[in-house]
Amino acid sequence: MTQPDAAPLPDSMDRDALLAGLRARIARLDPGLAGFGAGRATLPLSPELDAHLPWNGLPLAGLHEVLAAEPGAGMGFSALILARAQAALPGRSILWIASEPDAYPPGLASLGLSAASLILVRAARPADALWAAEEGLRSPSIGAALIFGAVPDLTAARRLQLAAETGGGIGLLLRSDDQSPGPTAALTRWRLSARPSPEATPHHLGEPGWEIALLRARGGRPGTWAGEWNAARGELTTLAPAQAASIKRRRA
Amino acid sequence: MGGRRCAHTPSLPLFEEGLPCEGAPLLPVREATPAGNRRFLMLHGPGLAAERPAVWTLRFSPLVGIWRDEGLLIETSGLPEPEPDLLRRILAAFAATGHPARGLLGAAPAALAALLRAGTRPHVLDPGQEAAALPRLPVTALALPEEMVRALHRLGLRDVAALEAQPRGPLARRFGRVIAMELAALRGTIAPFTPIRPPPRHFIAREFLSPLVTAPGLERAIGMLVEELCAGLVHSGEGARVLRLTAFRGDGSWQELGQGLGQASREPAHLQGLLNRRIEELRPELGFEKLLLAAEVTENLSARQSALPGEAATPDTLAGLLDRLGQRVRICRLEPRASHWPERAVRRVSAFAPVTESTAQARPRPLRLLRQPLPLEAVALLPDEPPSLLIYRRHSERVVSAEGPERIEPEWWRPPEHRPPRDYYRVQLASGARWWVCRRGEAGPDARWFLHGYLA
Repeated sequence: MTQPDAAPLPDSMDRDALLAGLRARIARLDPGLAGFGAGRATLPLSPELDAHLPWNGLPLAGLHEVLAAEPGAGMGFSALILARAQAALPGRSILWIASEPDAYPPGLASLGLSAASLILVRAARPADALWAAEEGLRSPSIGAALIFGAVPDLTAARRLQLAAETGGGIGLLLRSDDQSPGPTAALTRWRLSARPSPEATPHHLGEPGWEIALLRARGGRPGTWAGEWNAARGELTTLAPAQAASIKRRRA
Repeated sequence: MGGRRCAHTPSLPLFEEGLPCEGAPLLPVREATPAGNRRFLMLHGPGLAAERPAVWTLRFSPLVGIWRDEGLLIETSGLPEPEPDLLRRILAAFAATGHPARGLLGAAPAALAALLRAGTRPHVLDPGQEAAALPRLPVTALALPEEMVRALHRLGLRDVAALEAQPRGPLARRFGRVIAMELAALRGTIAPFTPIRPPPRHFIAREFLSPLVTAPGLERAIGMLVEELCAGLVHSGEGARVLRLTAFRGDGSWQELGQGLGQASREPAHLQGLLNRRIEELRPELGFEKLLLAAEVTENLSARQSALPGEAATPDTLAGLLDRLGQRVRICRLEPRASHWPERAVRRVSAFAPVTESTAQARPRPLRLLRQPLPLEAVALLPDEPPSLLIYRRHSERVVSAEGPERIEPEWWRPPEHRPPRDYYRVQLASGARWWVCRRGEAGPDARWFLHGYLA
């Protein structure tokens, strides 16, 4: 017997259109699933990092986790992401949520983060911090929320991720590296350690250097880079560790 | 043309039109005093005519005034409690605070004051009683200068009845305007009264037949009040900055919730959301019988279309979000300040205040400035050289490179005096970490080292 109800295999043109339609439909059903690849608003970090990430940049409308092996490096990388979010979403504010928020605008300005749209939230308890972050991320008037110190469990992290998808901002969980990082609902997890600048001399520190490790990315591969923040040009230059080592040898 | 014959004639009051049939019970009509149906409570007592007792008395009525250096005047018109209960409650409250007071509740403040001066016991006067009590009042009880009272006595005018029997014209020519004013005030024709606080221009009160006990019931009731309040605010082109919800319980007590807003708003959903989140602070016990919602502070707010037709949700504004956050956590912004002293270079301001851009710093500054600097121990080759080893909690860190010192002198025009200067160094440790450390005081054995911030 023939199968009259079975749809015939569409030819290639129809198949492309069909797949595009299905993708759009899935995107409408679950904004979080959409956009493996293009079609998702992202923040640029550096050319190498952007090329490595499956979204061609750090995706907005998502939650990201930064483990700080050294406080300055973790804060520097997070502040850089906040500054990029500020530039990408003008008119939106940045929430800085901590039990004792000690942001220092004169220093943050060197990473391009302006204090004009920075709002400090002092949440004594982690539950308050996560609540404030969720409320903020759900609102379309917040471009980014930095949660400093509070570690959400899997459910709370999922809630934050959903809130970020609703509001379109970026959520950053900044925590120290000493706790064992459990499972996460965040899109990416980074570890930031300090890296002595190659051109440092006893009387000159050189540019801030970080070792940027991408521990996990949803739908992507992990990787490690040696990063350097160039304050004068306002950009992050990254090199794969092998490249960095060869440059060091050549200088030596 | 039957319709025309039955038409209501607007010039006639309702009950004079001979409605349904003769002898049908009419609605009870309250006899109006010349000043209308306003009701006042006059309180006399030692030390009452002052600002502090008057403010304290605001809890009973929004309209409280100080009456001629001798007592407090409270307008009780429209208060929900029965008047005898109200009088008893207020007098008991005053007695409990150690300021016993005598009070009379009636229509004309001047008459109440005169009756109190004549020694009348505290009670509630209906207009008939008040009118009957006035003629027997001696002129000594009136608010008249002493020589005028003596002159009246010489003329044989000893009570109000005798005074009122006199033609007003000659009386006023002989004794001046004071006596005419006092006589008019006694009958309530004029009631000069200045409340100490302007009453809220926007308030909505609603009584409920069945007491409100549950949170959903309260939410719905507050929703109704907020809708009405916002309609009034829209009408007058204002937005609320401070809301006060007063919930009156059946047993005569009441509770208040004050809620401030960072920006003037008349968005019903926003105001209701703010109040709903605070319902749990109310203790209804047997239920609230009356809710009163007042916009105590309002600001002009130009009309703005909240949403296009067809758009369901009103956009969530930043001010709304900050109001919500401010209910549970503390929020602020950082404003740059012209100061070299690191802690004073920024200032915490309200999250609703506009903040100017911070100017670029010539020298690198840390990303985080620790509110409590961490004490360090430092080892340097020479006393005034940069440290070569920093010890924090018995954990030593070798310094690879150091920039500095950057000396920051204390601002001598600010106390405390004789603060030591600080020498700041930017150091890079062997691990790659970058610290902003400072030496407090001159180099030497007394100098103390601190980690003040983390550099990027």
